[in-house]
Amino acid sequence: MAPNPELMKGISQVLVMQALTGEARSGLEILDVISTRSESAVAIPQGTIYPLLYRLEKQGLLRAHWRPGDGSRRERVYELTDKGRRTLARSRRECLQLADAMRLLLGEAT
Amino acid sequence: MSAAINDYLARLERTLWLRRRYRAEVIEEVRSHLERVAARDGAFADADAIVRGFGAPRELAATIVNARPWWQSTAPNWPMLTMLASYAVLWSAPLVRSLPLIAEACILAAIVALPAVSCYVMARRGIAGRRLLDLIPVALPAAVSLGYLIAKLAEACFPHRSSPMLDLALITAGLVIPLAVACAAMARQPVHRVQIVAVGLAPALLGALPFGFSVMVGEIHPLYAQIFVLQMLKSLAVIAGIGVSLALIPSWSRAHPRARLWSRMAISSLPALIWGLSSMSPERCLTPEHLTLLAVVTLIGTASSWWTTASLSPPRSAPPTAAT
Repeated sequence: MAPNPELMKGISQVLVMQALTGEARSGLEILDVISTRSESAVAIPQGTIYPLLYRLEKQGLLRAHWRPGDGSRRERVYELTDKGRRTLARSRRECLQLADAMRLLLGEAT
Repeated sequence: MSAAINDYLARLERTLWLRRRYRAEVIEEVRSHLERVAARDGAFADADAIVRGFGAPRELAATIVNARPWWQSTAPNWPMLTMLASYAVLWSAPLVRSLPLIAEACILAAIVALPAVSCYVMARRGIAGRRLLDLIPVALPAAVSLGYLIAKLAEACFPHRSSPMLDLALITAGLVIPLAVACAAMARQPVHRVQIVAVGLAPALLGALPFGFSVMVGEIHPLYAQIFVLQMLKSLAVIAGIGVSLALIPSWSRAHPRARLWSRMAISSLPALIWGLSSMSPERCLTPEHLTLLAVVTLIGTASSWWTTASLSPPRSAPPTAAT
């Protein structure tokens, strides 16, 4: 079940940055990683990934470079900057705290 | 590789208002993405199949352009252009007044036409024109310019009438309201602060040019030089005031949530107050009309500046948002 898009707006940035920990990835690879790791529960719309990546790059949280792709094509890949890593660490902490709080709040009703 | 991909990318490229190099990079990146998806999941039947996954090309292009740094964009800043038209009418008035009426009418008619042309181009190229709020900053200066033209014609017909109230109405309508509306329109999309400074700087240059030109060609009059310096100082003060407001208010709001309204009101009144005080000229200083003008401009300027900065500031404690 795909989450509500409004709900996804706030956490897409964290998910994308989390997908970039460890290695540089292209936009499509980031989408695949998020889908695979969440067992298809979370899917960022394809049309929002590039504006999001460009915005994060503009904020200095990511840097991009080209690498050879399949065949004659090259692909643009993104990696976290130092600032991005610091921001991700903070955002992850906040998200996990929020998730715990939500579990407490919403779990009581079930 | 695929007609559907080529079709979609062609439509995307048409409204992707970025410099050539960056436009090519985006197209190449999206093409690479689509081709890999097609190789993995099967070819797209047509461009509409891609639209279902990626969204409409025009909307994607607009989102991408807004997500890129401002200096990569080639999209005209419509609020800024219309602001320039509005300022040009009002600030070039001393120059325009020395022209024959017919020449003045032609210049003003051209300025009235400019926003209309902007509207047409904007609607045709599909940047924003579908929303009413996007059209207001374009239409309003046109209305102001038209009103100014009518007022000038009336002044020509009734030369014995002085017009302090006309000045009041013109300055209020021509400077403050378009500024507020243009900033509100800008707040609907990410706008770099450089663009906001440009909104202040360009009119300063426009206003100073006629006087600077007069000095350059040898028609040196002490009043011209004085006005030139005053115009520049006034504009710089307003820019500095707006810059300070925009820089301080979001952080103040976060640091002092209870004082948010107070701090916003105090800081946001500065630009308007500076502007109003700097507009005092020796010959009209402290006249009742000028004091009324100052009060009204400061009041409206404070309200519009507060509203603008409130619109441009991210909400306190809002979570980071995706680029949609």
